[in-house]
Amino acid sequence: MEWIVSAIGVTAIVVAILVVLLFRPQPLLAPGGVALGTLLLIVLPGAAFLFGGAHHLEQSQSTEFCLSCHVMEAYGATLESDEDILAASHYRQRTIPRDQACYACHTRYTMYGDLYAKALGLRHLWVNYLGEIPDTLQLYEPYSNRECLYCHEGADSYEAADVHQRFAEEMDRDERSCLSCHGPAHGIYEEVEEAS
Amino acid sequence: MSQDLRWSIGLLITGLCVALLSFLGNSPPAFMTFIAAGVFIGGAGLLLALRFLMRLSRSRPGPSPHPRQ
Repeated sequence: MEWIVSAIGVTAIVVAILVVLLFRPQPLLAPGGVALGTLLLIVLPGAAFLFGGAHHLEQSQSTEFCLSCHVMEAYGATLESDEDILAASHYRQRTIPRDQACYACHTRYTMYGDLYAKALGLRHLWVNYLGEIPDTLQLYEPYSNRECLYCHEGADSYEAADVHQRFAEEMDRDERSCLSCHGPAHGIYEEVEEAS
Repeated sequence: MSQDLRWSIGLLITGLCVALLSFLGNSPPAFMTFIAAGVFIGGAGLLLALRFLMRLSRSRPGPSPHPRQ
């Protein structure tokens, strides 16, 4: 659903109602004003903010949103790289949606994965604007195979590889990372190390 | 008109207009602007509206608990 349409529509209507109410508040002071006031001052503005929040949360999953921060530019550049980099191959071959490229791989595929990603996003905002951005960005925890297997497990190309069958249990337990064979994901760390 | 109602409507209009402006962007600053508009400005407006409505409901005499015979 396009939340932007609902968000703009509801917000504009509520603003118009409130402007009228600012100059003609008599209905609120008449009998039945409490119920009308609850609707016009609490319920409708609350709904407008909820629709707006839904729109912004939807937008925050977009590649454009993630790459709008300067610190992410290098990572965004690797998506379109011609080199044999994991992120680039996924992006070029469209195995992940291009408009949600970052989110597709960097969210947890668990019940509360979306909420966890939003909480981390707020932390990123805090660090970006009020904290100190580290020279080398690192994941908060090792990348879980769960995120890879969410799409790849069961696919013919994945199941056909003997090595995947051989290490299936280890990979399920995250004792052997997909990135140990298929990494680096972005190829940034090596560049940072070379630069330093 | 009560000061609470005037401030409430003013803050709500300001918060919603800032929220509308934030819809123009797709970036963390736009998101932060919306949070500021929604949580702080809109939240203050909603609290004042709640206070106004509570005062309004108290000032209204309800039906008498002991109707005259």
